[in-house]
Amino acid sequence: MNRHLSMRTANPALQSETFKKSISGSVRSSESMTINGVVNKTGLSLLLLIISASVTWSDPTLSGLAVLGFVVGFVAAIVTIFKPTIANITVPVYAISQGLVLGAISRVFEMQYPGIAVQAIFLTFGTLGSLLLAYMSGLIKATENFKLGVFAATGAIGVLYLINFVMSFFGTGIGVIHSSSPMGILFSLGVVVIAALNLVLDFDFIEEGAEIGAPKYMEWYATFGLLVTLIWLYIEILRLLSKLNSRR
Amino acid sequence: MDIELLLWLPIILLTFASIIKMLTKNKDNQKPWIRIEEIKENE
Repeated sequence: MNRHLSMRTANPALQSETFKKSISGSVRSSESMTINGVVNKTGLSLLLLIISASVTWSDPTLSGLAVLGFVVGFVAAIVTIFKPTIANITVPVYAISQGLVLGAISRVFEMQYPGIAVQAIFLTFGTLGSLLLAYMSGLIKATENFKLGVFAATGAIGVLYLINFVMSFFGTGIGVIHSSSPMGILFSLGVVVIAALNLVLDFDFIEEGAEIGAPKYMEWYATFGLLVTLIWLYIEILRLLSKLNSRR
Repeated sequence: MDIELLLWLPIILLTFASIIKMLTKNKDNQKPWIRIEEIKENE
């Protein structure tokens, strides 16, 4: 068990004590978490996300729904983190609401650079597939040093984004985040790599959960973690592609 | 050449490396497809 993620994950949803809490808690499920269960629930959640994204994508008059989606998604994420036992309700809600947000965001980027959204979708799922294969083959192993590195890098990006967010209130910001200069592109590329490596931590979390026989509801929780990483990866790829396109 | 296409390069390389790793993993320790065992009399 020690070789697993155990207690170092950069994903705020997949925190160290999650499994311990779920196993020692008073609510115990009769069935245990399985990898297959997570795969099915991830498929279902992605389907819900794509359907809701198509609503705000196809009809610009409904883009106001994106704001609602953002608020509902945020609340659903917080509830999922603090009450994973009801993740079977909050995760589909999260998927649908994030779909509304992603549909609207993708549309804005698509209007600027036609074809960018499809490219970003293919790159996101391409990254997911290749990293899953690399993880299954043992090419990439979630060693303690690997986890520590990804954790530190994700934390650094988080801090940088937070500083940028605070600075934006004063009409300024960290240039490299939004810049299309070679440095800006390099920064975005680095963020995409870190977001992609977070997927390996998610796979490790799922494998550990199935191995130690975590309760069934943790399948939804693990799905949530995977969704958070995939959504982050998609947005960062979209940002990177827009920077590359703007230099033409 | 589209620079965006370069983004596929690490994905393709990683996929190929994983497939090669899967194909070569534990090749020496694998059980043979057919195993011929000697059967002793009265066994």
